[in-house]
Amino acid sequence: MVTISRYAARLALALALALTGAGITFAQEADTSAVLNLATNADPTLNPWTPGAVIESNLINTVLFDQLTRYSPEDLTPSPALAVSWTAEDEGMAWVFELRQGVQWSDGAPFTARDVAFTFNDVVLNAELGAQSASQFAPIERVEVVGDHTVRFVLNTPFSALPYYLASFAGIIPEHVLGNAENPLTVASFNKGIPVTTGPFMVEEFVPGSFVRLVPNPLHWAGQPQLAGLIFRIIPDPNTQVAQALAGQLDVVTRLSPNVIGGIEGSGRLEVLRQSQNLFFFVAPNHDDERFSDVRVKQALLLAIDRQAMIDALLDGFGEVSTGPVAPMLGALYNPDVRTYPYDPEAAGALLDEAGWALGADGVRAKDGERLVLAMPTGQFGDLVPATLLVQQYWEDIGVDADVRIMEWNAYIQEVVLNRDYEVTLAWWSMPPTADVAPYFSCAAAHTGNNIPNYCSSELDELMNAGRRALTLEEQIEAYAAMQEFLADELPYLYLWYPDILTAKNVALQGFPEITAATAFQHAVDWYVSR
Amino acid sequence: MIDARPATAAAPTRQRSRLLRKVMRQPLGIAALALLVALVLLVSVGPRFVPHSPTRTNALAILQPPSPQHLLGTDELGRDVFARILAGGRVSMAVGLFSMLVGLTLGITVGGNAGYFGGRLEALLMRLVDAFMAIPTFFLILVIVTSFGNHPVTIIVTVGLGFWAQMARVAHAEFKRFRHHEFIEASRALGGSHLRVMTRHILPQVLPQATVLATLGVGWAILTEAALSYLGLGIQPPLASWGNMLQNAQGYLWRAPVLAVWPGLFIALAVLAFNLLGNALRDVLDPRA
Repeated sequence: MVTISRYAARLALALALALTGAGITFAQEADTSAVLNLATNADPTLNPWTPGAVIESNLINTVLFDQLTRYSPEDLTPSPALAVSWTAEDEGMAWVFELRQGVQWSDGAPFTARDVAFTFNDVVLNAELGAQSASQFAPIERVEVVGDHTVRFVLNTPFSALPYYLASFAGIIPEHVLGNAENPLTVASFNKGIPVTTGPFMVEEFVPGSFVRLVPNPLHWAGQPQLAGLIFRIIPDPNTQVAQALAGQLDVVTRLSPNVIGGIEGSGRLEVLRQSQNLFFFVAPNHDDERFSDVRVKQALLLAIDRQAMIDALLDGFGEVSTGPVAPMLGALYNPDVRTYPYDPEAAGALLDEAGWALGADGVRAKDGERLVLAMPTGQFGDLVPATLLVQQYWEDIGVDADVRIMEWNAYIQEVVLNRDYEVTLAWWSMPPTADVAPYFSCAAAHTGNNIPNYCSSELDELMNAGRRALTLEEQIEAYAAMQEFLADELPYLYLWYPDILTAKNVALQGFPEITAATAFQHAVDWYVSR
Repeated sequence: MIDARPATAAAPTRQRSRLLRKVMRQPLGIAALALLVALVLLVSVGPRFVPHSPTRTNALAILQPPSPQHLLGTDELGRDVFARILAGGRVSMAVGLFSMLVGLTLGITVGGNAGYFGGRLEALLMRLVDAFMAIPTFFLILVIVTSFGNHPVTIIVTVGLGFWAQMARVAHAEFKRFRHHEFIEASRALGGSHLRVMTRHILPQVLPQATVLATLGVGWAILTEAALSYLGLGIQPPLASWGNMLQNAQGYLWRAPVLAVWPGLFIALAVLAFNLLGNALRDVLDPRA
């Protein structure tokens, strides 16, 4: 019996090994005739730097235009793409990037250091063009061509996070195609036609309002992708995107609402990836309004909001209460030991009493005869309107009257985000995965750049600069921990939550990094569909 | 010859009973009228008996099923759905009624003048009506709302504009038919002004037809407002309307499909009631029936 059972066990083990082995080869066999269908919400603009090319264009441009760096799928540190190595020089006042040899544009022209210099000197740093996200690169003075495959970024202030920012929607564009254009950002045959690119896929056909079809780029430096093509279908309505994915017509849907994933998870064909991103939702108080010069008012407004209840209600629990602008996904750079503001309406009321805002007979607080009414415009996008209505209710409960006005999205961007015509507003920032948040908080970005609340403090500027000067991780951790403490005490923004980023993908699609959507699309060359 | 007999005191009574008999032959119409009265009562006095505010959110009580506390449950922000149906019904039905009045007034004014005066004025006004009818109504409304904003008054006027041309045609035909009748000429000969003749003598003749059209028009206007709000161009939150409740519910079709059922049901009921009543009125008021 013993022998037999031992024999049986060995046989079973051998069989199991054979089966798993076969299973692995089976799964790794790619279907090279597969075409993936993806969705985007509007006609994309095929140039990563054109003003207004945002959420509808980001992912397709990530596939088309390689960047100097890209995020590592393991820990989101910058890893080689068009650049193979980089070092800081002059005590952080310059960065030298060695570029990859033998890279060709999709029209066969060689990729050189001049393309990098053109992208930054003539496009991003050219203030007249107003390139998208140019403000993120404000520390760059100029880019020098050192050799055919070496560039030197000369800075006006230390910028230790530069390799991170170069991995964040910062594609390199071709000098030999756009160099002679009057405005390289508005060339229609490029932006809405067939652009010249370096990515693993290139555009074959662009039918406005319908789809963009991509085929493998035979000249790609990392070899050919294992797919026959990608089709980005233009589907504005998120519910339609989900319905089409369930019907088998889409293989990847990004930025899913938590309200639809129940239907997706039960389908068997699709799986939901729970990703993170350095992204926080906030209520911005406009610091041009002197009522917010008293930090107790801001603290009271934040204490009055039950953020966990809002996450449960709006996001079905797919999110985490935020402690500041730096998200926990940044690991060691994230400082959780800061002042927090758990839901406590009584403490909020006490703080407002202390600040001189006494409860009036009409249920609204007032000070020196002025009622505490806050103009709160909001835009129609995603969860902004429902979130704003919930905040309005929490504030009403402590005697603060939020005067909500719902605006069409583009009007909201123009009036509130660009012209700063508001007193409080609820929105979100999506940032590169670094603790360097200066473009969103510095005095230099108040009133003009990404510092929506117009907050300005020389103390904070100094703390952020300390982080930019720090070149070792230990120094950065120390500098940014202090910055996060300050941000939690002073509340330039009222931090709401870090949402989970939900993406649905076909279970047969492999080689798709799960860590963030941007990372996944930066590694499109590795995607394959198992047979 | 029967009509030629001298009028007696009994004639009005007989007419009335004949009308009553005609009405009694329209059970669907009566049911529709009852339903409408019930709906109007519900949305006008109902809110007084609901302890919840239609705009009060509660993140801790979202998407609850119906309960004695919340008759139709709560929505995605914890607001009481029943309170919102009542408040939204007020808005939707008011938009329906008032935009019908806008369309009716404009249509009768333009069509009436064209029909009564004839000539160049008629040619000009009726070509204007033709031009309006040539434009697809809903697209016209979309363009106006997009360019002039979505204040409730704008929406009422715009939806009314979608409806006036049809009314103008009917008024035009009727006024034209009556303008040479003896009783009109008699009234003119007695010194009645054009305005007096039009309002006192012709308008009452047109009213039955206008009533039918108007009743059908209210249903159409409610539906149009719902469609506009569904596209996000109509009544704006936090003000509730059946249309924007339906739009909100769209985002929760997977998680809480029942949210779309309630506003949809009430839109259907109100529109159905107006249409059935309109049909019944036409049958009752049509002399050929």
